[in-house]
Amino acid sequence: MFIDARTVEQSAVVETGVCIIGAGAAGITLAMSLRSAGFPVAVLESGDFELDEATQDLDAGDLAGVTNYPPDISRLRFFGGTTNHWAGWCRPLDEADFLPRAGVPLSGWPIRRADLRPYYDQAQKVCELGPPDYDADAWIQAVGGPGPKFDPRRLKAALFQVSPPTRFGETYREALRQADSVTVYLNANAAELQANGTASSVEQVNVRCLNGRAFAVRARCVVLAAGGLENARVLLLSNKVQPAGLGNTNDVVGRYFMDHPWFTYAGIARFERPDPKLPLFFGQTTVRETSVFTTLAAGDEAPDSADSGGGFRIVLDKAFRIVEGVDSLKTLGSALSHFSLPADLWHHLGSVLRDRDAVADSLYKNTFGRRSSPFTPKIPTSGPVVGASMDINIEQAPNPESRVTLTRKRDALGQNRLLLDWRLGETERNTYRRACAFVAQEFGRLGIGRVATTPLQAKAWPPNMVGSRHHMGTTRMSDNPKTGVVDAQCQVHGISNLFIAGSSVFPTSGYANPTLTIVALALRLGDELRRRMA
Amino acid sequence: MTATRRAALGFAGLALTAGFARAERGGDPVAPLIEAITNRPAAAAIGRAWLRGLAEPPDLATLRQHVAAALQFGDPRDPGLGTSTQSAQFTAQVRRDFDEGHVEMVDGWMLSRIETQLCAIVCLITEGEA
Repeated sequence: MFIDARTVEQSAVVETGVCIIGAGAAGITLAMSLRSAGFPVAVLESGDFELDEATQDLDAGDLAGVTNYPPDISRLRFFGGTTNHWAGWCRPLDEADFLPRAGVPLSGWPIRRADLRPYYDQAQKVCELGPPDYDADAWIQAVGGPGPKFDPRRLKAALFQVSPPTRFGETYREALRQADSVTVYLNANAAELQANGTASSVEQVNVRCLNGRAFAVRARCVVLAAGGLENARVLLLSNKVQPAGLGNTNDVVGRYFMDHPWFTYAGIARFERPDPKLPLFFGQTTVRETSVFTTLAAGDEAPDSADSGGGFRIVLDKAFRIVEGVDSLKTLGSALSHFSLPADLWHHLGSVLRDRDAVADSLYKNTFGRRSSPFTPKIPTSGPVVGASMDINIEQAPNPESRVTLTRKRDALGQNRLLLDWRLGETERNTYRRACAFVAQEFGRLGIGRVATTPLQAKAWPPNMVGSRHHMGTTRMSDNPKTGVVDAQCQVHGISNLFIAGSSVFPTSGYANPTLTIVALALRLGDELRRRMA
Repeated sequence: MTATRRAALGFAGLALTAGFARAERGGDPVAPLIEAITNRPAAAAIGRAWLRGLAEPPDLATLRQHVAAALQFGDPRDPGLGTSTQSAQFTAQVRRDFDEGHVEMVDGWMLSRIETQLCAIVCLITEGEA
């Protein structure tokens, strides 16, 4: 059932079995998995069923470090959470992503992919995907493959399945409404986790509403599922017993923030012959009633050394005609959108002017969404594929200086706002360089074509690089409390009844989108909570 | 991706196309390759950009020797050595260069060493003729 928390009696104490804070992909998945577990579940959702400006403002915060999306833009604070605007790209993490790697400092999960395998399979259904098959070759064969035979020391084809995308708040609303054991409190902000005197357990969750209403929820188990930034913020705000924040005796909470740096239009390829055999690489295709696409990714046998970097994926966008002015226009647009200018500004401006007709054509189509325009020559939107542009999306290594902290600014509830200080380092540079080198080498070796990529400058990150709005790592999983906030069961170290769900527990990020792994981990946590509550 | 970017747009018309034209073989084993290049201005621009980036750019004779040696040409006057053989040799060497990391970066483009050297030869010949 759903209850508007603003109508709950002032200072009431709600007793329940499990209290889940947050109703996004993790929280809703967990609530669904526990709805027939035989104990009551309370879900605290900050927002309502629709976006509300005042509630969304609670997500606002400051940025420092590398350019990223503002926290109140990248997240959505209403029922369904950020799944209300996700794209639906899904892929499990690779086996290697769970292992210690020389190229990624502090890598290695305390669990293996095999531990998540059954939950990944279930997560496919939760996210309304196809069969749990990510063998790119098999999918490519289904559309008339084979595809290119990449050297596994450099590249592979990485298959992604695409969710409708599932809007968790819509898809699972009715089931939760009908679940007798689940109560979803809307407009309920978890203001503080109130710990006992030794901070060994959470006694209650103090809830506050924007209309001033306040009450508490007492539960045998509490699960923070408020997102990669907010999970850390709630812990840092819960500082009455542990001044540095609950679960933060080792100063780990909020550190190791990771995103997937996304380099738009980082490279271009010119094919030796039109229409190279790259099935499934150019956009989404429905195969066996499943929407899929493939990207290039680091090969499974890619060297792993101290300077090799981490994982990456390269997304191709086909070009039917090569027009340098349009390339330059995209580069300029990307830079200007980040209030900067590309280093070779005059070259790009010259290109745009030389190809002004084609550029005007491209602008017209982008502006009005039409396939034809009054300008000539037209850039074909069909015909032989003669090249491609490339977006490069890379794994970020855990970095303790990349972090979420609290500022002195306050939100409408009087809570400290957050500061996101995103830091990238040499590992990411190595990863980017490796991605560029591998794709260029393999395209050349296989006779696909030649590749040009944008080199990194000495210090600054290029204006075409932003985050992917994948917030990870701020309450990372580790067997060692000095390098992690939660253990392998997602329990906060030292706090017997506090758990965390979501990508904030990822020790490393891999290159895949996080949602499928978030859902798999939530399902696994559901099993763990059933055991604990038995 | 600056000066040679536009030149590279014509790169597909360079020596990478499979069809090597039969050319005069006046004792120069590299000549058939050069003759086969359909977009010489593009090749020359690439070669020029590469040479400009070198502290000690090689001369024409040295480049010819390098290309010939890499391709292990036999006697170019041998009637048994057809252009298809040379085409296959060149293509194989390009592939091998990429596989072994024998590549050159020219304004952001990764090119095989052999094709870059060939472009440089075209550049030097063109400038010599000018």
